[in-house]
Amino acid sequence: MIAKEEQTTKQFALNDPYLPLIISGAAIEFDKLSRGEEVDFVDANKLACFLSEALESEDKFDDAIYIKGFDPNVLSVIGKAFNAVSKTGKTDTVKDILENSLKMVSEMRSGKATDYDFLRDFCVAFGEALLSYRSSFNTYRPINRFRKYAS
Amino acid sequence: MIELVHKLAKSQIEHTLKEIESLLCSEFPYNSSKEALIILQNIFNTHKEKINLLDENSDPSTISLACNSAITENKDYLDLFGFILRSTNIRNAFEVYGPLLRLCRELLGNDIKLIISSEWSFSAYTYIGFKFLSNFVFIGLPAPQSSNSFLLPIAGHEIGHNLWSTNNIENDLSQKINTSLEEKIKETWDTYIKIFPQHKDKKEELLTDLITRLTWSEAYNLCSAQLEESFCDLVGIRLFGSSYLYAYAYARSSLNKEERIPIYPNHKDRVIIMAKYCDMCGINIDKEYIDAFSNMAEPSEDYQRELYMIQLADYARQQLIDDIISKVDSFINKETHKNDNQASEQCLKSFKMMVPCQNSNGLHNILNAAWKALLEDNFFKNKEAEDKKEAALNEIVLKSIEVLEIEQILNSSINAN
Repeated sequence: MIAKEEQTTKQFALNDPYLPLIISGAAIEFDKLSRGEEVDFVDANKLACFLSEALESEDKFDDAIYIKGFDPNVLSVIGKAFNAVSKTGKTDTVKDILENSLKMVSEMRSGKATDYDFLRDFCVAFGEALLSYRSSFNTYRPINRFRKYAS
Repeated sequence: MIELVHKLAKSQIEHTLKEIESLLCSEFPYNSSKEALIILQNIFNTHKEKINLLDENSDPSTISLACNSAITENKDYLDLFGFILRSTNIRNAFEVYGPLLRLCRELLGNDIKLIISSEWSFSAYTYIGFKFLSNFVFIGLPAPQSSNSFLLPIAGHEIGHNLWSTNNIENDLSQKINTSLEEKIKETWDTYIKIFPQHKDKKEELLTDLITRLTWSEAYNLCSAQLEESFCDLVGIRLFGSSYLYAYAYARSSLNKEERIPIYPNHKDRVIIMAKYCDMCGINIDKEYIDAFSNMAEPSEDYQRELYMIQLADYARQQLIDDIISKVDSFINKETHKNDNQASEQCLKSFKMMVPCQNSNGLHNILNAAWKALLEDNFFKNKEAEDKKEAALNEIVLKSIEVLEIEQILNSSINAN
């Protein structure tokens, strides 16, 4: 059962340095659970809060204006993660992502998830997509052209 | 192999934590540097704890993610450790610390902590986006210029980055950015489908189809970054008046011939936005100043996709300039940061006598007078002083800033009583 404590009031931000820690922590928790170990769900709960804050549309779901206001980076990172673990085919639309994510968040929160391997794999895919997004955006930053790096 | 990755990640984090411990033994001129290091130490300790939770029974991809996250953060924050270390270096102008901290607190909140440091890099810079250090402002000046008071107005630009991030301004503008980009893509549909032919049937799904959105998300990022840079320029102008323009020219006007960096508006376009705002603030900016800048080269025509993304971003940025201006005006009190010509003239008179000024009534008045003095021919009657004008003025300006700090401390203790 996922604890409901520590409701974070943070705004969802892909650059939040806590996010990779939370995602990998949640992956570890779901992994332990799938092996029958006991976990405290601290990071899984934080991740659920993060996702719902980013995607929960409240009364605005299906509202075109809401979709227009979306940061496309959040959608693309979460979309990549869904597509990497999807068993039912590609997630193509913004609406699909919102629906799938909110369904998953509700599973995480209710503690009624039946497939912890899937949740773990989603966290891994989300974490990897996030790390890749961060490194690709960093390439916009100017670097010294005379400085060469080993990698 | 995964066991090796696990071991190496553990070792890297151990090394980082050891380095933090040794940095904590430095002599810090103010507490903020030490406090930032302690927060970083906690972050890396949390990474260490997560990695230690993993064992030989753990899922390999979960091990890989935990290790990659830790190593990536190690890579990303390493230069921040260097920045904090250099904040202890005596080349920094510690005189400016108090007045700048006061300015930061006025704009960003009373819990703000400031770290001023230097970097072996040509441009001044700041670090933003460290949410766990969200109440920290980092201002770095190029090492050879780190005690050059004429460059101080650039700090206004760096404070602008903090204002932008703390107030989530991008979130407020994202809807308009998306709408402007959609509008421009539809207007240039032929170019769009030449670059992305597989999306030719998606004209009405630019915002709702995930894969189609990905085709222009780069333009969104560029536009948002350009708006942020312009916002920061305008914050610099609002806080430091004409001295920001001169400091900007000092740092950037010789770069006209380089290739454009797309996260900034092109060189001349950027100055034109600044000129528009100066006009609104009643700050004189002459045509010669604008003419000193020219646009930098765009990417080659061979890079159609990159060029198109930049064109989209430029268009959307132009549509939102008025929004940026009203954001600046909503965050900065016009009355508090109005140029005080009388105080500035008073500073100028003191500089002429080669004594630090009193009752300057703000950093901006000292810096505006400093630039005026620097640009005036034969400012000092004494020829020897005139020959070394920049260095002589710099000393007087730094002393004047110290006087300002003492006045501000006295005023606040009088008000407290």
